[in-house]
Amino acid sequence: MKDKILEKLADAVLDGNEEAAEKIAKEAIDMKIDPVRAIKEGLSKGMDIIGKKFRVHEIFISQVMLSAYAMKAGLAVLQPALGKGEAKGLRTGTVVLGTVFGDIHDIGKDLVGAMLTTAGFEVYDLGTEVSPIDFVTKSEEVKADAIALSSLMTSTKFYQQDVIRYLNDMGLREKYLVIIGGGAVTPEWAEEIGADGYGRFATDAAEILKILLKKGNKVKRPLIIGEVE
Amino acid sequence: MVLICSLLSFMDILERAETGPVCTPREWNTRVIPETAARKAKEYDIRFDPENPIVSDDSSADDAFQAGFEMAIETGLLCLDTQRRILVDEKEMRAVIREARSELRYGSGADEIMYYARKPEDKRSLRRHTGPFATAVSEDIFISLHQAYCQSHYTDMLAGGTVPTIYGRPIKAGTPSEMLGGMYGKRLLREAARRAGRPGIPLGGGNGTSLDHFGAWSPGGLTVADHCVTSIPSDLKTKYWILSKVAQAWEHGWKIYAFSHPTIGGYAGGPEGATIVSVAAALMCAAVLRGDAPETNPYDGRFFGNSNKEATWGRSLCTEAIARNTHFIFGVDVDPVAGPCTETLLWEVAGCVITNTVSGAAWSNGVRSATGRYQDHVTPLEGVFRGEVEVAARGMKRTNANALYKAINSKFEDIIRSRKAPKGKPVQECYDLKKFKASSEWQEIYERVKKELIDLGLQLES
Repeated sequence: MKDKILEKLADAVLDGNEEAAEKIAKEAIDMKIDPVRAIKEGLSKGMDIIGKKFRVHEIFISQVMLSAYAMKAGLAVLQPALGKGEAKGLRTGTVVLGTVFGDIHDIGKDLVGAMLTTAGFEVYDLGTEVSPIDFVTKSEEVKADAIALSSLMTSTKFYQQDVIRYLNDMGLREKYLVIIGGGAVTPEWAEEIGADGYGRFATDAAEILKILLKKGNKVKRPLIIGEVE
Repeated sequence: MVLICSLLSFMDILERAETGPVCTPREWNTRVIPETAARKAKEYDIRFDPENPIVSDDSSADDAFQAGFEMAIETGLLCLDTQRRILVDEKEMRAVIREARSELRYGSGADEIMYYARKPEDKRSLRRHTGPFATAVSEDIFISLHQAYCQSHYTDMLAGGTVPTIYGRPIKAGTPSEMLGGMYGKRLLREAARRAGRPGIPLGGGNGTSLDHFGAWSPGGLTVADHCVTSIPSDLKTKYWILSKVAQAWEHGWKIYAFSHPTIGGYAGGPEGATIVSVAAALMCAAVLRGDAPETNPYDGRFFGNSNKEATWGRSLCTEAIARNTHFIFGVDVDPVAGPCTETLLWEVAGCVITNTVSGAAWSNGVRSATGRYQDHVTPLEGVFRGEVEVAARGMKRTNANALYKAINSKFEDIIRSRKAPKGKPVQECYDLKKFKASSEWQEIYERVKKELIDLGLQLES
């Protein structure tokens, strides 16, 4: 019976069904299923499958986003039931994400958000046209591990630099990893502004952050993934 | 009262932005767009055909048009500022199509040129917007590079690059420097055109925020002889600052180029969905943005650019759908993934241009080498090559073009799918901007690819 509930949780995520995910998560609590198990073997299992399907282009971003919403709905029920320290252990990391000020492009950012969610990150998506101050304020509020900045235009990429500059000026630079990407952005730019990582494709973001979080200062910065010669 | 067509005015559009049905961006991106596109693809049995990236089945094109038409009517355009849908009904949309311009005059003096709608397999030339096409170009070479483009007779309109700095300081969106940059960039283009002996060549406008736009249209910048750029960003969305550009354009009699690039792998789903959204976007460009010259074609968000098979199929189908069912002066892009001084770039360009020409595009932007990602990674040589291929492809039967495209595609498809397309070299390393000549290395690559294309059957001048 408990296995059935876990299967239904995974299915709710696969189907992108928020209501079902919330309802079944409550059932899991009622049946006294270990919330860690419900998250790992239910919600995350569904999200893993979604991530794999997306990477081989079997499904597309809208489906990934719906699954991510379902997962969040399930987490909202299960996380309060976790013990001290258990919640942190389940999370790969916390990321504040957005498209920088002056830029309305959203698909790249949404792809990154979806990929980070499938990889177990807790993602706070601030949307588009986000000011440097708002990125930092939110990061402080949620105690983020990383800030992920997207820019599609030559004239807006300077706001990626502004975020790092602001962090430096506020004495906060060491608290956050800053990774960048987008159509206007190159590894050379990442180096120039002192970013911690750069990814050419949306699917690179999770890998970059996992490596940076695990290896810390042992990794040369910026960590570049996906770039061509 | 500014009219879009006899049944629709700009004030109607503004009212609908305030009173249309409510829809959140989340609902739009995850339900409205993907579900409508998928439903229309199923209804009309629109399926990507890897054996026929250049579509020659007219009934498929007509089905794609109908699917896109119905989607446009059903979904409308989402105004992000008000989170309401701007709806256009069927009667209004048919009036938009019926009353759209089929000819436009650009430029002045000896460089005045007429644009017209084309049909698939049309023997007439398509118009070429040639240049770095929004790629960032260093300030110190900006004029000489654009002069080189203007000196080519394959440039009908100058598709300018983006100048990233003004007197060495960054041009930053949303700040006064962006307004200055808008003015500055266009004045540099005018100077480049003057030095090339083509002071009347039309210029393509900028597409920064409204500050760049307003700067670009100040004295010394763009005029009624040029193009005013607006867009439908992402999938069938708009914002007030975009509509503000449109309002200003009408006031001054500017010709509006409205573009949209639905993404394969994005909200619209796969190539089928992205193509249907492209058709819908072309109609909305005309109906809401009053685009005199709409330009919509799907890009591939998984591999970038628009040269691979899925994006080619989508572009061919969308172009034919519009060309066969409207008299829009419809545009497309040449957006290869590889960069200058590589064979891959030229193969991609050849594939793109043959597709665009035979599918019935009226004009095209290009060449945005390396998808415009790397500053200065553009040279005039690929612009010349593009023009030569276009001339050779005119009047070609689509079935023949498809066979040729597949042979060309085998030279680059796997490279693109491996995500390892070479970024090539910046112009400073493969093109002499004082003598306006390609380096011997780049020239040799160009000659080699041309020869191979001739051997494949394309009637290029050797």
